[in-house]
Amino acid sequence: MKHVNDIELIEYVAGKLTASRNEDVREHIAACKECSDRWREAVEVWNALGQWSVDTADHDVAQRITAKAEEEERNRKQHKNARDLQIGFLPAVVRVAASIIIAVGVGHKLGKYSVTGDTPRTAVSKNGPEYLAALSLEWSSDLAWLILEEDSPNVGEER
Amino acid sequence: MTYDKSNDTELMTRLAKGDMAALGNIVRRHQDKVLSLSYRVLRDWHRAEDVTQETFLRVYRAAKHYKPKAKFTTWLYRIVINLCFDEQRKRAKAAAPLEDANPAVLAETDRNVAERKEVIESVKTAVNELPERQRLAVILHRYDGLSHAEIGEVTGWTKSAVESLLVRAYANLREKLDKMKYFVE
Repeated sequence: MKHVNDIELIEYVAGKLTASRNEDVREHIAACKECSDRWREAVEVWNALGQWSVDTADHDVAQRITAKAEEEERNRKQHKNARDLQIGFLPAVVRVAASIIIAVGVGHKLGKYSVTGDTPRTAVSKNGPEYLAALSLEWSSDLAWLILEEDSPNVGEER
Repeated sequence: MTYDKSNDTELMTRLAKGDMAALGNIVRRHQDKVLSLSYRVLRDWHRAEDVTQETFLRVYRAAKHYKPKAKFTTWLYRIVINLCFDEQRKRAKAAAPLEDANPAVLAETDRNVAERKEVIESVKTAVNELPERQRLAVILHRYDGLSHAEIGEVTGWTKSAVESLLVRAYANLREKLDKMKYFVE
Protein backbone atom coordinates (compact mmCIF):
# COMPACT_ATOMS: atom_id res chain seq x y z
CA MET A 1 0.00 0.00 0.00
CA LYS A 2 1.13 3.57 -0.73
CA HIS A 3 2.36 5.60 2.24
CA VAL A 4 -0.05 8.10 3.72
CA ASN A 5 0.65 11.50 2.23
CA ASP A 6 1.46 14.51 4.43
CA ILE A 7 -1.83 16.35 4.17
CA GLU A 8 -3.82 13.17 4.75
CA LEU A 9 -1.74 12.44 7.82
CA ILE A 10 -2.48 15.92 9.16
CA GLU A 11 -6.20 15.39 8.58
CA TYR A 12 -6.03 11.97 10.19
CA VAL A 13 -4.49 13.49 13.30
CA ALA A 14 -7.09 16.29 13.23
CA GLY A 15 -9.84 13.65 13.00
CA LYS A 16 -11.23 15.08 9.80
CA LEU A 17 -11.05 12.11 7.45
CA THR A 18 -14.17 10.26 6.40
CA ALA A 19 -14.88 7.10 8.39
CA SER A 20 -13.80 4.76 5.60
CA ARG A 21 -10.63 6.68 4.78
CA ASN A 22 -9.86 6.97 8.47
CA GLU A 23 -9.98 3.18 8.79
CA ASP A 24 -7.68 2.68 5.78
CA VAL A 25 -5.10 5.08 7.20
CA ARG A 26 -5.31 3.55 10.65
CA GLU A 27 -4.64 0.08 9.20
CA HIS A 28 -1.75 1.35 7.15
CA ILE A 29 -0.14 3.09 10.10
CA ALA A 30 -0.45 -0.07 12.17
CA ALA A 31 1.40 -2.00 9.50
CA CYS A 32 3.97 0.57 8.34
CA LYS A 33 6.83 1.59 10.64
CA GLU A 34 7.71 4.69 8.62
CA CYS A 35 4.17 6.05 8.61
CA SER A 36 3.75 5.09 12.25
CA ASP A 37 6.78 7.27 13.15
CA ARG A 38 5.49 10.15 11.07
CA TRP A 39 2.09 9.82 12.71
CA ARG A 40 3.64 9.92 16.21
CA GLU A 41 5.51 13.09 15.34
CA ALA A 42 2.39 14.67 13.90
CA VAL A 43 0.43 13.83 17.06
CA GLU A 44 3.17 15.39 19.20
CA VAL A 45 3.02 18.63 17.26
CA TRP A 46 -0.77 18.59 17.32
CA ASN A 47 -0.88 18.09 21.09
CA ALA A 48 1.85 20.67 21.70
CA LEU A 49 -0.14 23.25 19.77
CA GLY A 50 -3.17 22.35 21.85
CA GLN A 51 -1.39 23.65 24.94
CA TRP A 52 -1.81 27.20 23.72
CA SER A 53 -5.27 28.05 24.87
CA VAL A 54 -6.49 31.62 24.85
CA ASP A 55 -8.44 32.82 27.85
CA THR A 56 -10.90 35.45 26.71
CA ALA A 57 -12.69 35.77 30.08
CA ASP A 58 -11.14 39.18 30.82
CA HIS A 59 -12.00 40.51 27.41
CA ASP A 60 -15.78 40.58 27.25
CA VAL A 61 -16.58 43.07 24.53
CA ALA A 62 -20.23 42.13 24.03
CA GLN A 63 -21.59 45.15 25.91
CA ARG A 64 -19.25 47.51 24.12
CA ILE A 65 -20.36 46.15 20.77
CA THR A 66 -24.10 46.26 21.43
CA ALA A 67 -23.83 49.77 22.91
CA LYS A 68 -21.94 50.95 19.83
CA ALA A 69 -24.43 49.28 17.48
CA GLU A 70 -27.38 50.81 19.35
CA GLU A 71 -25.74 54.22 19.08
CA GLU A 72 -25.33 53.68 15.33
CA GLU A 73 -28.98 52.61 15.11
CA ARG A 74 -30.11 55.77 16.94
CA ASN A 75 -27.97 57.97 14.68
CA ARG A 76 -29.31 56.17 11.62
CA LYS A 77 -32.90 56.74 12.77
CA GLN A 78 -32.26 60.42 13.51
CA HIS A 79 -30.68 60.84 10.12
CA LYS A 80 -33.62 59.07 8.49
CA ASN A 81 -36.12 61.28 10.34
CA ALA A 82 -34.30 64.42 9.26
CA ARG A 83 -34.30 63.20 5.68
CA ASP A 84 -37.99 62.28 5.88
CA LEU A 85 -38.70 65.77 7.20
CA GLN A 86 -36.85 67.30 4.28
CA ILE A 87 -38.71 65.06 1.87
CA GLY A 88 -41.99 66.05 3.65
CA PHE A 89 -41.36 69.71 2.84
CA LEU A 90 -40.71 69.00 -0.79
CA PRO A 91 -44.37 68.70 -2.00
CA ALA A 92 -45.26 72.00 -0.29
CA VAL A 93 -42.29 73.73 -1.91
CA VAL A 94 -43.21 72.25 -5.30
CA ARG A 95 -46.85 73.39 -4.87
CA VAL A 96 -45.80 76.96 -4.05
CA ALA A 97 -43.32 77.05 -6.94
CA ALA A 98 -45.97 75.69 -9.32
CA SER A 99 -48.49 78.30 -8.13
CA ILE A 100 -45.98 81.08 -8.78
CA ILE A 101 -45.16 79.76 -12.24
CA ILE A 102 -48.84 79.44 -13.12
CA ALA A 103 -49.62 82.93 -11.78
CA VAL A 104 -46.76 84.48 -13.76
CA GLY A 105 -47.75 82.55 -16.88
CA VAL A 106 -51.41 83.53 -16.63
CA GLY A 107 -50.48 87.13 -15.88
CA HIS A 108 -48.26 87.21 -18.95
CA LYS A 109 -50.96 85.75 -21.18
CA LEU A 110 -53.59 88.13 -19.87
CA GLY A 111 -51.28 91.06 -20.48
CA LYS A 112 -50.49 90.02 -24.03
CA TYR A 113 -54.01 89.15 -25.15
CA SER A 114 -56.62 91.42 -23.72
CA VAL A 115 -59.78 89.71 -22.56
CA THR A 116 -61.80 92.65 -23.90
CA GLY A 117 -60.49 92.13 -27.39
CA ASP A 118 -58.45 95.37 -27.47
CA THR A 119 -54.86 94.87 -28.43
CA PRO A 120 -52.56 96.86 -26.24
CA ARG A 121 -51.44 100.05 -27.86
CA THR A 122 -47.92 100.88 -28.60
CA ALA A 123 -46.89 104.33 -29.57
CA VAL A 124 -46.38 104.16 -33.29
CA SER A 125 -45.71 107.07 -35.56
CA LYS A 126 -47.66 107.11 -38.75
CA ASN A 127 -44.79 108.04 -40.97
CA GLY A 128 -41.57 107.42 -39.16
CA PRO A 129 -39.76 104.37 -37.96
CA GLU A 130 -41.14 102.76 -34.79
CA TYR A 131 -38.01 103.33 -32.78
CA LEU A 132 -38.65 107.08 -32.95
CA ALA A 133 -41.99 106.54 -31.33
CA ALA A 134 -40.29 104.37 -28.75
CA LEU A 135 -38.09 107.35 -27.92
CA SER A 136 -41.19 109.61 -27.87
CA LEU A 137 -39.88 111.60 -30.80
CA GLU A 138 -42.00 113.00 -33.58
CA TRP A 139 -41.01 112.46 -37.18
CA SER A 140 -40.57 116.17 -37.61
CA SER A 141 -38.65 116.99 -34.45
CA ASP A 142 -35.06 118.24 -34.61
CA LEU A 143 -33.74 115.42 -32.53
CA ALA A 144 -35.37 112.88 -34.87
CA TRP A 145 -33.41 114.24 -37.77
CA LEU A 146 -30.20 113.79 -35.92
CA ILE A 147 -31.02 110.15 -35.30
CA LEU A 148 -32.20 109.55 -38.83
CA GLU A 149 -29.25 111.26 -40.43
CA GLU A 150 -27.15 108.14 -40.78
CA ASP A 151 -30.09 106.09 -42.05
CA SER A 152 -30.89 108.40 -44.91
CA PRO A 153 -28.52 111.19 -45.88
CA ASN A 154 -31.03 112.68 -48.31
CA VAL A 155 -33.68 113.25 -45.75
CA GLY A 156 -32.04 116.40 -44.45
CA GLU A 157 -32.19 118.00 -47.85
CA GLU A 158 -35.90 117.54 -48.09
CA ARG A 159 -36.28 119.48 -44.92
CA MET B 1 -26.25 32.94 30.75
CA THR B 2 -29.00 31.71 28.46
CA TYR B 3 -28.51 31.56 24.73
CA ASP B 4 -31.13 32.04 22.10
CA LYS B 5 -31.75 28.73 20.33
CA SER B 6 -32.29 30.37 16.96
CA ASN B 7 -29.63 29.53 14.41
CA ASP B 8 -27.30 32.20 13.05
CA THR B 9 -29.32 32.78 9.89
CA GLU B 10 -32.51 33.31 11.90
CA LEU B 11 -30.70 35.73 14.17
CA MET B 12 -29.41 37.62 11.14
CA THR B 13 -32.96 37.85 9.76
CA ARG B 14 -34.17 39.26 13.06
CA LEU B 15 -31.26 41.68 13.17
CA ALA B 16 -32.10 42.86 9.65
CA LYS B 17 -35.56 43.77 10.99
CA GLY B 18 -33.99 45.91 13.69
CA ASP B 19 -34.04 43.43 16.58
CA MET B 20 -30.93 44.52 18.48
CA ALA B 21 -31.29 41.63 20.93
CA ALA B 22 -30.42 39.33 18.04
CA LEU B 23 -27.08 41.12 17.70
CA GLY B 24 -26.44 40.54 21.40
CA ASN B 25 -27.06 36.83 20.89
CA ILE B 26 -24.77 36.66 17.88
CA VAL B 27 -22.02 38.46 19.77
CA ARG B 28 -22.30 36.28 22.87
CA ARG B 29 -22.33 33.15 20.74
CA HIS B 30 -19.25 33.99 18.66
CA GLN B 31 -17.17 36.56 20.52
CA ASP B 32 -14.84 34.02 22.14
CA LYS B 33 -13.97 32.48 18.79
CA VAL B 34 -13.49 35.86 17.16
CA LEU B 35 -11.41 37.17 20.07
CA SER B 36 -9.20 34.05 20.18
CA LEU B 37 -8.64 34.08 16.45
CA SER B 38 -7.82 37.76 16.28
CA TYR B 39 -5.58 37.53 19.35
CA ARG B 40 -3.65 34.59 17.91
CA VAL B 41 -3.22 36.39 14.62
CA LEU B 42 -2.43 39.85 16.01
CA ARG B 43 -0.76 38.84 19.32
CA ASP B 44 -2.18 41.91 21.00
CA TRP B 45 -5.30 42.02 23.16
CA HIS B 46 -6.06 45.65 22.55
CA ARG B 47 -6.04 45.21 18.77
CA ALA B 48 -7.88 41.90 19.07
CA GLU B 49 -10.69 43.61 20.98
CA ASP B 50 -10.87 46.37 18.38
CA VAL B 51 -11.04 43.82 15.57
CA THR B 52 -13.73 41.88 17.44
CA GLN B 53 -15.80 45.01 17.92
CA GLU B 54 -15.44 46.05 14.28
CA THR B 55 -16.26 42.51 13.10
CA PHE B 56 -19.62 42.48 14.87
CA LEU B 57 -20.40 46.06 13.83
CA ARG B 58 -19.85 44.97 10.23
CA VAL B 59 -22.14 42.01 10.82
CA TYR B 60 -24.78 44.43 12.14
CA ARG B 61 -24.35 46.83 9.20
CA ALA B 62 -24.48 43.99 6.67
CA ALA B 63 -27.53 42.29 8.23
CA LYS B 64 -30.01 43.86 5.81
CA HIS B 65 -28.09 42.55 2.80
CA TYR B 66 -26.99 39.23 4.31
CA LYS B 67 -27.66 36.19 2.14
CA PRO B 68 -26.69 32.86 3.66
CA LYS B 69 -24.63 31.54 0.75
CA ALA B 70 -21.89 30.05 2.93
CA LYS B 71 -21.78 28.98 6.56
CA PHE B 72 -22.25 31.98 8.86
CA THR B 73 -18.99 31.26 10.67
CA THR B 74 -17.06 31.12 7.39
CA TRP B 75 -18.43 34.56 6.49
CA LEU B 76 -17.67 35.80 10.01
CA TYR B 77 -14.10 34.48 9.88
CA ARG B 78 -13.59 36.13 6.50
CA ILE B 79 -14.47 39.48 8.09
CA VAL B 80 -12.11 38.79 11.01
CA ILE B 81 -9.23 37.78 8.75
CA ASN B 82 -9.69 40.79 6.49
CA LEU B 83 -9.68 43.11 9.50
CA CYS B 84 -6.61 41.35 10.90
CA PHE B 85 -4.86 41.82 7.54
CA ASP B 86 -5.74 45.53 7.70
CA GLU B 87 -4.43 45.74 11.27
CA GLN B 88 -1.20 44.01 10.30
CA ARG B 89 -0.71 46.40 7.42
CA LYS B 90 -1.30 49.34 9.77
CA ARG B 91 1.06 47.85 12.32
CA ALA B 92 3.72 47.25 9.69
CA LYS B 93 3.52 50.93 8.75
CA ALA B 94 3.58 52.13 12.35
CA ALA B 95 6.13 49.49 13.41
CA ALA B 96 4.49 49.25 16.82
CA PRO B 97 6.11 46.89 19.32
CA LEU B 98 4.33 43.61 19.86
CA GLU B 99 2.76 42.89 23.19
CA ASP B 100 4.41 39.49 23.22
CA ALA B 101 7.83 40.94 22.48
CA ASN B 102 8.20 41.72 26.17
CA PRO B 103 6.77 38.70 27.96
CA ALA B 104 5.95 39.35 31.55
CA VAL B 105 8.26 37.89 34.12
CA LEU B 106 6.75 34.79 35.62
CA ALA B 107 5.67 35.63 39.11
CA GLU B 108 4.32 32.18 39.82
CA THR B 109 6.33 30.12 42.22
CA ASP B 110 4.57 26.89 41.56
CA ARG B 111 6.91 24.82 39.43
CA ASN B 112 4.19 23.05 37.44
CA VAL B 113 2.55 26.33 36.55
CA ALA B 114 5.91 27.75 35.54
CA GLU B 115 6.70 24.74 33.38
CA ARG B 116 3.33 24.86 31.78
CA LYS B 117 3.79 28.52 31.02
CA GLU B 118 7.15 27.72 29.53
CA VAL B 119 5.61 25.10 27.29
CA ILE B 120 2.92 27.51 26.17
CA GLU B 121 5.53 30.18 25.50
CA SER B 122 7.52 27.70 23.38
CA VAL B 123 4.45 26.85 21.35
CA LYS B 124 3.48 30.49 20.94
CA THR B 125 7.00 31.36 19.86
CA ALA B 126 7.11 28.48 17.39
CA VAL B 127 3.75 29.48 15.87
CA ASN B 128 4.59 33.17 15.81
CA GLU B 129 7.90 32.55 14.08
CA LEU B 130 6.22 30.85 11.15
CA PRO B 131 5.94 32.77 7.89
CA GLU B 132 2.73 34.80 7.91
CA ARG B 133 0.62 32.65 5.59
CA GLN B 134 1.71 29.41 7.24
CA ARG B 135 0.92 30.90 10.64
CA LEU B 136 -2.56 31.92 9.58
CA ALA B 137 -3.24 28.54 7.96
CA VAL B 138 -2.21 26.71 11.15
CA ILE B 139 -4.25 28.98 13.40
CA LEU B 140 -7.38 28.48 11.32
CA HIS B 141 -6.77 24.74 11.02
CA ARG B 142 -5.59 23.83 14.51
CA TYR B 143 -7.45 26.33 16.68
CA ASP B 144 -10.57 27.11 14.72
CA GLY B 145 -11.06 23.66 13.20
CA LEU B 146 -11.57 24.91 9.66
CA SER B 147 -11.28 22.47 6.77
CA HIS B 148 -8.93 23.18 3.85
CA ALA B 149 -11.83 24.38 1.73
CA GLU B 150 -13.05 26.68 4.50
CA ILE B 151 -9.57 28.13 5.01
CA GLY B 152 -9.51 28.76 1.27
CA GLU B 153 -12.88 30.54 1.46
CA VAL B 154 -11.85 32.66 4.42
CA THR B 155 -8.47 33.70 3.05
CA GLY B 156 -9.09 33.61 -0.69
CA TRP B 157 -6.29 31.06 -1.23
CA THR B 158 -6.73 27.97 -3.39
CA LYS B 159 -7.25 24.59 -1.74
CA SER B 160 -3.91 23.31 -3.01
CA ALA B 161 -2.17 26.44 -1.68
CA VAL B 162 -3.80 25.86 1.71
CA GLU B 163 -2.69 22.22 1.76
CA SER B 164 0.84 23.13 0.81
CA LEU B 165 0.96 25.84 3.50
CA LEU B 166 -0.32 23.42 6.14
CA VAL B 167 2.19 20.71 5.28
CA ARG B 168 5.09 23.18 5.41
CA ALA B 169 3.75 24.83 8.56
CA TYR B 170 3.44 21.59 10.53
CA ALA B 171 6.89 20.47 9.34
CA ASN B 172 8.37 23.80 10.43
CA LEU B 173 6.64 23.57 13.79
CA ARG B 174 8.04 20.12 14.37
CA GLU B 175 11.52 21.43 13.63
CA LYS B 176 11.16 24.53 15.82
CA LEU B 177 9.73 22.62 18.76
CA ASP B 178 12.52 20.08 18.43
CA LYS B 179 15.10 22.86 18.64
CA MET B 180 13.40 24.24 21.73
CA LYS B 181 13.73 20.78 23.26
CA TYR B 182 10.01 20.78 23.70
CA PHE B 183 9.76 17.11 22.91
CA VAL B 184 11.30 14.86 25.55
CA GLU B 185 12.98 11.87 23.95
